[in-house]
Amino acid sequence: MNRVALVLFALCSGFLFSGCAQTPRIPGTLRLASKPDPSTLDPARAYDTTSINFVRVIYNGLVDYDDNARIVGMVARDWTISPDGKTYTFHLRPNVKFHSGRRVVAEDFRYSLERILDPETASDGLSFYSNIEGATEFTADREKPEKERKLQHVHGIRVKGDDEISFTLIQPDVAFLNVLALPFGFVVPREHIVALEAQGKTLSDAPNGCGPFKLESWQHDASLKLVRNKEYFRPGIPRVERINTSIGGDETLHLMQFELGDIDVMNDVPPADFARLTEDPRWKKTIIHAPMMDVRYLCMNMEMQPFDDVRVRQAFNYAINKERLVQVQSGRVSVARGILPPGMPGYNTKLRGYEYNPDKARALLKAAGKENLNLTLWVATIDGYDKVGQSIQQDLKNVGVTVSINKITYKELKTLAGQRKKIPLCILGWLQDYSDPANFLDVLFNSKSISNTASLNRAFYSDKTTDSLLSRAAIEQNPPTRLQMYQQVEQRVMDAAPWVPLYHSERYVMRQPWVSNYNLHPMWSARYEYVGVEDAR
Amino acid sequence: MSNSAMSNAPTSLAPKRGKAFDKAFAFALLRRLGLGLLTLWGVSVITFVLLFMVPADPAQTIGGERATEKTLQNIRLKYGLDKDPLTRYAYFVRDIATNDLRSYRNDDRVMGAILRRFPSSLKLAVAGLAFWIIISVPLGLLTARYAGTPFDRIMLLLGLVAISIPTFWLGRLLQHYLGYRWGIFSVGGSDALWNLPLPAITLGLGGAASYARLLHSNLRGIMGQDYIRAARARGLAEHVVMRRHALKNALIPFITILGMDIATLLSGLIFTEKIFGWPGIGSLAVDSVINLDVPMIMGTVLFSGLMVVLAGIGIDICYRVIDPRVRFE
Repeated sequence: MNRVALVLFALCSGFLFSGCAQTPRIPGTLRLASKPDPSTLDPARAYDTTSINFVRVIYNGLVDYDDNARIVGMVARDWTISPDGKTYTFHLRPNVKFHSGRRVVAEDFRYSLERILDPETASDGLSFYSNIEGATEFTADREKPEKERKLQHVHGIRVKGDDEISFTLIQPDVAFLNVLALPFGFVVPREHIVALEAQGKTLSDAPNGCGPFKLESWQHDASLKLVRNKEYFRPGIPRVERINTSIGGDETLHLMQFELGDIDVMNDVPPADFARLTEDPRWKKTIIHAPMMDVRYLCMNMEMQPFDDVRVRQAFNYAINKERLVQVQSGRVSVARGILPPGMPGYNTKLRGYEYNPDKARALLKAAGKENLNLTLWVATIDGYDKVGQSIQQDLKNVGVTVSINKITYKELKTLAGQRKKIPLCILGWLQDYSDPANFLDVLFNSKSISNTASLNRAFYSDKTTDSLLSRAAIEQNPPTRLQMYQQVEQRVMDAAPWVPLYHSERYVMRQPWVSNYNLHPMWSARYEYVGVEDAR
Repeated sequence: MSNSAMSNAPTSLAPKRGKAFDKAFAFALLRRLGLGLLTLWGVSVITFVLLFMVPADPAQTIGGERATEKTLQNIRLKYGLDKDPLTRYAYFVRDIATNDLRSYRNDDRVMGAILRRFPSSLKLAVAGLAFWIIISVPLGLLTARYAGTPFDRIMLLLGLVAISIPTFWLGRLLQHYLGYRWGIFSVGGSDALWNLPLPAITLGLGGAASYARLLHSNLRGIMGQDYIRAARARGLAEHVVMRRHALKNALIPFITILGMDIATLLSGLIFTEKIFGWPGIGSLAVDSVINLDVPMIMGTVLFSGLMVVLAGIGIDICYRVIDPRVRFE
């Protein structure tokens, strides 16, 4: 008994002393903390912010955005677009190598895109590339059993030697370069993936790209370590030797770690601490913010009672006090007057939307004969939606609509809201894939986005005029005319009121004074390749 | 174990000495093991049914938000999600048996993921348990010895507070004051040794308080026994009486409850790991629930069930070693 007690005592005092030790700072190392584990390090499958932030720096694509969100060449040295806007031809840089040491050639890009179009890959990016000639046929072919497959390649993707690749589109698309800048199409080496598959592994287990960082180690839900790719083709990049990310914990823990100097960047400022931090002179200047390029909205299912009546939908638009929602979100969001977020090309500054007017709401409900409505509002358990839901509940009560709130996880809500006649009323959000109005209006309001089980048009808004406007805008070559057409679509949607647009969010980030060049980008939530860390504390 | 406690035992039922593992005992253990497997099977069925009732579509979890209906259909075919529940349960059992149960989120082998995290959780559980015992034994002894004094009363009060505080709140409290404000301990963020103290205290404090009370009342009961008076009459020092005669007898019910509390400890791990960013099985379970990663949820639940079953058997063996009079029918 005595000896056991002694050992235990020694253990305990061991904690005490060791407790004083803090994570030491390592020169040239950027220390990050992430709440979720990246779901994958395979570019074709990465569609969550955490994964994309890492995938972006392990792999590279033909093009990327510069500081001002203009498209610039990455692996592509230059490119030409045919006069009809349908053919894009890229010339590759000669000095780009995969981490394994092999040179990146045009054939690799063809393989990488065809890999996305193969349903076996289950890439979220598949639909982005369907405008390439032969893409849809290729996907259909790959769905057949192996023996019956006829197509070797997508005929709209042509490779000439090691240095040239061209894409032919079904119809011209001004946003096609944006699509190529999506990490889905970042280049991956075929032989590497084939070898991994033979071992029963996936690309995510052993990433091999041509980006500025290599994966050193990844313990799921614990830590992810990146180390500089010394062979990277852009001089002076990256600016740190390593990136160490600890995975797990939550915002509260991360903020403590940040304030104690244990991590270099705090990717999200917890709402509860927001007021304190913005007023504290020590932390105030470490905070930067930029629009998140999103929209959060109350989604009304137009195929379901009572939202098949436009008056009810408009009444809901008048009934909700958005200014109060801004307060509920600690002033970190801005009121949404339309669909598109400010900063998005085509954002309409003149669009006023619906003002807060409970009297009009009551009158409209009365006119529709829907005065004592009883509804369920579905709310996800993230992003402070529960408080937003309560505020909406009060606003609606004020106009005679009784709402009960049903909280579920975001994943469940997204699945259910994509199914027909399942959820009448819920709060959802949409974050841009790239800065183009088509990525909002075409994806969310085209009747093509309606399906039985996986709709992205979750209001089930179906309007012929909108559809034809959208398809004309998609092929319009003149940018100002094109944006005007999207503004028309937006106005039409606002009049039909399938949504109550609620607010647009801002992203808040804190970085330590010794971190340089951590700027917020309109497109990417982080660009680790440019971030530097000064060694002297 | 020395035999002094035994020779001073209150009952004189002539304890059978000798083999700790006789035939009857081995049989009893086998029976326990069988019952344990039955329990695990029950756990798997209940979890499976519960997860089956979750409205979300696993195909969507695998395929992602933008997956087309066609892709979802392919995924359903590939993973057998289109089959009826009974067939899917059969698949599930087969996958467990062949160690091919894989995460929906990243295709990781469930068993591998759990085993990789097991050392982290074990480290924390052992540290928590150590803290639990280090605090409870001396505190139980002291409060029993000074029963009724203001010291005892204050400890009773503090103990009640410690038992009543929910783990997640206690964790945050300790993290904020002992870690962030006063800088005595690290606030967490990985399973490094310097991050261990706060989660260990969080995990152990509630148990420590309730065990101190338990030990206190056991000791109080024993202190009035004849053999204690006999020991005192022989002129033994009070601390010797306490330690060698009273404590040993008071510890037996302690072990029973410890066995049952393994489950409490495991559930405590879930909150504690999440708060301190400790990459163990508890945080894996939480993340799996958030991501609707059904195989991983099943895996963590079954693994915890297995731990409880094994702990129960371990406790049975402990009894036998400590007190051979214990019979297994």
